Amino acid sequence: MTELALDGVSKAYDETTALRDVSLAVADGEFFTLVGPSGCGKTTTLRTIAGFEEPTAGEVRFDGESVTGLGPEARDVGVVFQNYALFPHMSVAENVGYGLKFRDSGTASSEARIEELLELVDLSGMGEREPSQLSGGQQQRVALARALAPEPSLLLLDEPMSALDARLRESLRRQVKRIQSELSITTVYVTHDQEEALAISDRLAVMNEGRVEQIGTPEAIYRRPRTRFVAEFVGDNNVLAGEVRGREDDRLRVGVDGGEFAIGDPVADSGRDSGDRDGGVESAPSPGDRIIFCVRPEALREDAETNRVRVSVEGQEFHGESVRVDGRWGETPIVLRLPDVPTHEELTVGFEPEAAHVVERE
Amino acid sequence: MSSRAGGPGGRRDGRSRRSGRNRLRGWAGRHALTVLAVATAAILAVMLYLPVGIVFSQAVFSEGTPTLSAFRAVLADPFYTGALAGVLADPLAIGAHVEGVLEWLRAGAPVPRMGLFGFTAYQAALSTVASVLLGLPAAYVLATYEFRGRRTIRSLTILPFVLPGIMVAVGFYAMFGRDGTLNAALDFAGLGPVDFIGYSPLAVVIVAHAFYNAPLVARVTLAAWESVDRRAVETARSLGAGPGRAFRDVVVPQLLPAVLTGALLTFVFTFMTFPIVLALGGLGLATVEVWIYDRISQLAVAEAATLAVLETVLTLGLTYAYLRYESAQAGMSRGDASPAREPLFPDLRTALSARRLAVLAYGAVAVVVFVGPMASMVVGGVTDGGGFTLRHYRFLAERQATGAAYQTLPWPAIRNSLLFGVATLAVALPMGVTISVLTVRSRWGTAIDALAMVPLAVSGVVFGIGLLEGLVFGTDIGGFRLQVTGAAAIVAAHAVAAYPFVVRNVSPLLADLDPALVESARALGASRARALLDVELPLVASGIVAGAAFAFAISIGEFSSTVILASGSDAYTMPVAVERYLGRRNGPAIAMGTVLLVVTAASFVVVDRVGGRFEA
Repeated sequence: MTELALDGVSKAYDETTALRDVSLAVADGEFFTLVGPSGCGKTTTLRTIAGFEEPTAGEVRFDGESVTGLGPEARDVGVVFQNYALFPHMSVAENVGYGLKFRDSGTASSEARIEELLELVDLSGMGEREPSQLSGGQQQRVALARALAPEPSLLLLDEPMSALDARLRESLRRQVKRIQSELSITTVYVTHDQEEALAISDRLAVMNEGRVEQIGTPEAIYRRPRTRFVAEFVGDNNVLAGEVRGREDDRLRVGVDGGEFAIGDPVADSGRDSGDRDGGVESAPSPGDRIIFCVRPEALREDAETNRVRVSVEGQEFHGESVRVDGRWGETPIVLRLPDVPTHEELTVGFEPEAAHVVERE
Repeated sequence: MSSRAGGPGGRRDGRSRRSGRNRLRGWAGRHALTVLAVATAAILAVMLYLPVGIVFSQAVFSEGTPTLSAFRAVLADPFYTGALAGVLADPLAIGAHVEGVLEWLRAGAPVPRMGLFGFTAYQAALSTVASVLLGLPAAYVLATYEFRGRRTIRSLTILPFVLPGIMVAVGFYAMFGRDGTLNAALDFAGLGPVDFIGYSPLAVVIVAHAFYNAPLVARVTLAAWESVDRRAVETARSLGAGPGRAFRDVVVPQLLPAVLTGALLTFVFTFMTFPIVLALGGLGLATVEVWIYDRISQLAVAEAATLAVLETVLTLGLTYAYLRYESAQAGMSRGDASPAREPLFPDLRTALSARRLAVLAYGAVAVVVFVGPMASMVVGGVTDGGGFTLRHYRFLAERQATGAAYQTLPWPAIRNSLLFGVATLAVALPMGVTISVLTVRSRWGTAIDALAMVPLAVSGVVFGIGLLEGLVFGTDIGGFRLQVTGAAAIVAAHAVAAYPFVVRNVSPLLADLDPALVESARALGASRARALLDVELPLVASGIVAGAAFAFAISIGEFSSTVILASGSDAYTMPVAVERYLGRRNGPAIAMGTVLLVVTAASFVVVDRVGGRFEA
């Protein structure tokens, strides 16, 4: 099967640079996601892998072999687009069978293969329908079946769920994940939805302004962001900047505006997970350094005993299992996730020193 | 795992085996577009740029040395440039010119001498005003009211554009001529016959131009009108604007660019007018184009070339200005909710409102201008002063049976027209589709589009001269004698005149196609050419069919370059035959014109039927 590697890939258009030195490696059978805001280069990266774009520098390798210069038809990839891109003048079966025309197998086995694929995506017996007769979710499953039919070595999905409503998106993404792990096909998935990226991926790359900000497992990305951008982009977060005033017993004392917080030592913190290259700071910050650290909303609790601050409540959203509260500590906006609707306009919350994560030096 | 038969090794081998065995076919697939593009470029180079280039070089070179003397001579000749000749002869003598203007003012500002160019612009301006005046009410009625046949009339507005000019001229003869239907009506009313064409040929020419161009103005205006977002008007109303105010503030600004577009196109088309003026006005009303034709007939080629260059520069300049303007307008949004239409005649009471009466009055004028000439031609073919007769058709039949070889026979004209039409399709369709693909999909799209649209800005007469000089007489290129004559030259001329219409019909559809469709096909293993064949072409089939209808109709109706290329040969077409009959025997010309109308309409209907199947 196929391992994918991008090695220093850059892409410059006439006036803009879309990708800057993107390097990443996707293991055989891995579900790998590129996530970032619009214009971050994630789709360009995918298109470069597919062969729709040629990089201006760097190389794309499948199993160690460079595919530079190969057209998309020679790369043996399956691509699913956001808007499905089903051929409107062909039936569902003709769509799914289109790629088989360019393979060696005969017609009879094509028909069996088409039915097999339709079954895989729960669309048995729908082969004679026209794409326009299907719902959005069904169309997307046809697109997936079409991409998988020629047994590609790589499956590339470009925001495949964006056009669907929220509930459908969740059930379809579970189906995609199930099919992917059944086939154990190496998959690159592009999305702007960080929640989806965390939910579906084995590993993900967070991209911003044409660069890879961080690569890691969903858990590592969420818990130990390496840049301010990742800390703010992935999940709700409270990102604070402050000055190190001292360190004792694996704790840093950090002054932020009028207050002072005790937070866990970042070097010890990154040492807990040696597998990921995600320690935002390699050496321990010393007094006088300015650092950026983050505390997740769910870590801010009313019953915590350390790092307590008074937060004035400015707004709240009821989410069922929790309540999201937007508040302010002095001038600093603070996000909380509380089990219940707050009863006062002011709350006192705190967090454990180990719940804070040092992102980077400022 | 079951569906992924063949282990990792098998897959890897599969990929390299495929790419190896299909290398040759892969090459063809990858380069099919390039091959088509090169072929198209070669045809354009030989059939378009070379002939036009030859005409231009004849204007600029005199016996091998470049000179502008020919231009100077034309520009300083009052016959061509009228009162401006003095200024153009010596542009820097500003004092004298100012003095001249003052003198002219002191003399009470009499109508200055216009010259050939001035007159051409003057009649084009009058034609533009007439076309806008006649076209705007049509756009208003079609945009505002719902009535039976509205959609049919809407589609029919495209028809005049493809009607052969010479046939329209015949129709106007049949209506306004001494024996025409209008005189028959006057006679019925007890009024004497009026020689409308003899009395004011200019007025008849202008109405004929309006016949052509008012539907064009109506069409572009209507398109803009229908894309006005109803919600924008509703928003204006909810903010306090009355109906009139909302119309003025929201609708009019969106219509104005379209009206200007229609007006400018009309001006350019009527500036280059040829068959209508030739047939209805003759040399007495000569426009630049007619005069160029006359110069060619007198073998004054250099002078014709100079005039042709000046004319082309003028029209190209206008077209360029228009394109700049159009691109500046490109940001205008298209609305989703088009305006609602009200019934034209909901009940008897409102039927007599001032607005409805005005619509009725306009309808009457429209019937006279648009239906009149065509109906008169059909009727004129089967009547003479006395009543019903088949004399004119009998004349055509007899001419066919007994005519001498040097005479213009009806059947060869019909046969040639159909043959050239089919041959034109065979050349123009692939060219047009190729150019569309390159325009829409390639990085140099805009440049290719501009280069490929040259035929729209170069008049048929200029092009005809170029083909005559460059291809029919032959050109030496590096020891190789390039010569294209007779039917081949005419088909080339028609194809070059027709392919822009294929491009114009295919490109918008192609541009609207989701690029992901092609990319999906390619990722599934299709080469670029295969994706074009499997995905793009089937999806733009309706545009290709519409383009084919235009191409065929353009070929059937083409007159300007055909009349030059067919002179003295038996490769004449129906429009040329009509012109040859006209003047000597109006009856047979009208009968021949009717045949032309039938063939044009039939081809349009046939293609429309075929096309209907493709439109989902």
